[in-house]
Amino acid sequence: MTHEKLETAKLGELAFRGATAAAASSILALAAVYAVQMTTNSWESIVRFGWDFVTGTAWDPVSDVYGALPFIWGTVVSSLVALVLAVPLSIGLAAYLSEVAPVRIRRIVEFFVELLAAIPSVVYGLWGIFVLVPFVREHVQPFLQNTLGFLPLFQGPPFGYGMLTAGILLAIMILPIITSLTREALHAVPIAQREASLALGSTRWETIRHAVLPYNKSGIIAAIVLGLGRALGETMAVTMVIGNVPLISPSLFMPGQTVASLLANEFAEVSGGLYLSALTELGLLLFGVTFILNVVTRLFVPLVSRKVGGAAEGRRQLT
Amino acid sequence: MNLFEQRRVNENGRAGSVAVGSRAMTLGSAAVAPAPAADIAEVSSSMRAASGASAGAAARAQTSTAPIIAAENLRTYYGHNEVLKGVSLKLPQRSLTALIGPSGCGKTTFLRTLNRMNDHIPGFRVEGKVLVDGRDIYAPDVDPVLLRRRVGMVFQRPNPFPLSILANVTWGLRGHGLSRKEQRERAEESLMKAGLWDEVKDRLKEPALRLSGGQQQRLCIARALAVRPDILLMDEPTSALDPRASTKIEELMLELKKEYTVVLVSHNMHQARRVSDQCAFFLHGEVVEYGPTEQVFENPQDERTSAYVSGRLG
Ligand SMILES: Nc1ncnc2c1ncn2[C@@H]1O[C@H](COP(=O)(O)OP(=O)(O)OP(=O)(O)O)[C@@H](O)[C@H]1O
Ligand SMILES: [Mg+2]
Repeated sequence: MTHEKLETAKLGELAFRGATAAAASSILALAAVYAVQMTTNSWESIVRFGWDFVTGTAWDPVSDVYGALPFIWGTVVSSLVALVLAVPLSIGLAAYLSEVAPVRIRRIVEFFVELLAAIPSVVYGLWGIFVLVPFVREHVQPFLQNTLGFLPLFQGPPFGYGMLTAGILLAIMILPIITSLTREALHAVPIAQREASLALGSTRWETIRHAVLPYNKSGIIAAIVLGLGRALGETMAVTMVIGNVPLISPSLFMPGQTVASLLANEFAEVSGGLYLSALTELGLLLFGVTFILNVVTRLFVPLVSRKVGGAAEGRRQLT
Repeated sequence: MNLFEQRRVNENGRAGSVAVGSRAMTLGSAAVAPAPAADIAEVSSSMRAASGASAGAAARAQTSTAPIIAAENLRTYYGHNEVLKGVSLKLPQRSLTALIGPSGCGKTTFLRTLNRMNDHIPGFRVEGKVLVDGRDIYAPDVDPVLLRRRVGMVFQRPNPFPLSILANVTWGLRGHGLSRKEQRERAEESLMKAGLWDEVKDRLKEPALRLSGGQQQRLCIARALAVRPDILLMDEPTSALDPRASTKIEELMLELKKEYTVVLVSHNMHQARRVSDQCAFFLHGEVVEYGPTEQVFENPQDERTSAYVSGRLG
């Protein structure tokens, strides 16, 4: 390489570094600006209501009283229902794909899982309205009422629209992300761990259950937390099936409303003032929670890759 | 005798009764079909209870001359790649057989066919026979899980679980129907046999990964012994260790071969010579020479063997 060429290469390198650094910092700046702006815009509401904002149950734009508890409740409950349904299924599916499935079946199933991830939210919502809601109303809710009806969770009239349906729909929507991240986590478990277990006369199931899954617990937790983040923020599909009534009820059959669905419903009609400020504070709340969840996962994930970094040698599948 | 029945007759049994013995007989025939693990564990423990010391001695006398492992014209394939090209070997009981040979000649492959660890590799195929106690371990009615309880394995790199020392040793005892106390005793016994007890007895609850490499490897040996195998397969168990740790494990092998049938893959000629009773020289998937270690090293019959052991080959 001639001297000039070397110089040009150096320049290119510098330019590249500059560009990437700029891109990276602009994202940081964007997030910061976003947080600051949302805080200023919701300041009026923050000052006015303080903690009452998150503990209050009345949401009344007419008399300018804003308490967001029903929406927080709706968000948390629908997301929890989704997690309860999706986590075992996703982990089971991931374990099957990574440890058991023959290559051909694995490819097919993975294709469908990825497909699920690619479907737009509004399509899920439509499917929810036309398929899931009637199905839940006619089959799932009567069944639950007959078998587990003694629990407050499953009491009340079967509307179809409500927390349960929202939870089920969310579960389907977060299944792909939890599954693929869990699979990734299992992939990072060294083959030597599996062989150690098998060589001791453990069955394949025992090996998955006791050697493979626990080895990368934090990776799996990260997958779940990211799935939760997705569920908390999901707007469109949930809005379409949850019923949009700000209720705090122990029953999953009752309608509810989430923070995200409230925002989607009411931002169109807001005029300004305290109302806008309160809505913005809700947005800030959601932003904060998602942000914290992501930070928490980041704290987990480097730990995972460090732990398995040296052991990535054997990535052979165990079938 | 059934592959999984005979395993325990040499163990010091508790006082047994005749009824238990007859139960073992009926269960024994049931064990021909793949039976749940608990049943087999029961068979072995009732056998243990039933057989007195004399029966154990008789069984030993009866089998000591017969080979415990016999490969008959064994061919293995990874896809279309034929790795073992007709290996026939008889390995006698309670002795140490070393497998030597240049890299890639199929030693590990051979070793792993003995406990069916290669079953999991897509495209792997076996032709010919591997007999353990006269029973074909690739027969359809043999459960590889139970086979592996009899044929333990120690790997090239120490691979403890990221758990406590104690949990590592008792890992394989799940489903053996042992109480906590029995498991603990078994762990102590195994750690002693692996020559690790004195070093770890005060810190059994500590993470195994905190041990040194050599200690980890002995822990892996203890872990394998806890399941009470008869056969122990060791694939270059010292190649990842420093000389002192290696020496410790070599000494351990000399102890182990009194009680177990040990098959050792080694790249270290000195080690193979020091610890083994028989030695098999593998080359390109075939056994070129197999005989008493003395002879293979001092007076090899094949030119290629003498080239290899003297360091002129591979
Ligand atoms: N999982 C596998 N898939 C495909 N081919 C394999 C696999 N394992 C081993 N082989 C092939 O089988 C042949 C023998 O390998 P093997 O590991 O048995 O040799 P080895 O004698 O143990 O060598 P080394 O002394 O280096 O450990 C090699 O050519 C190798 O490429
Ligand atoms: Mg090898």
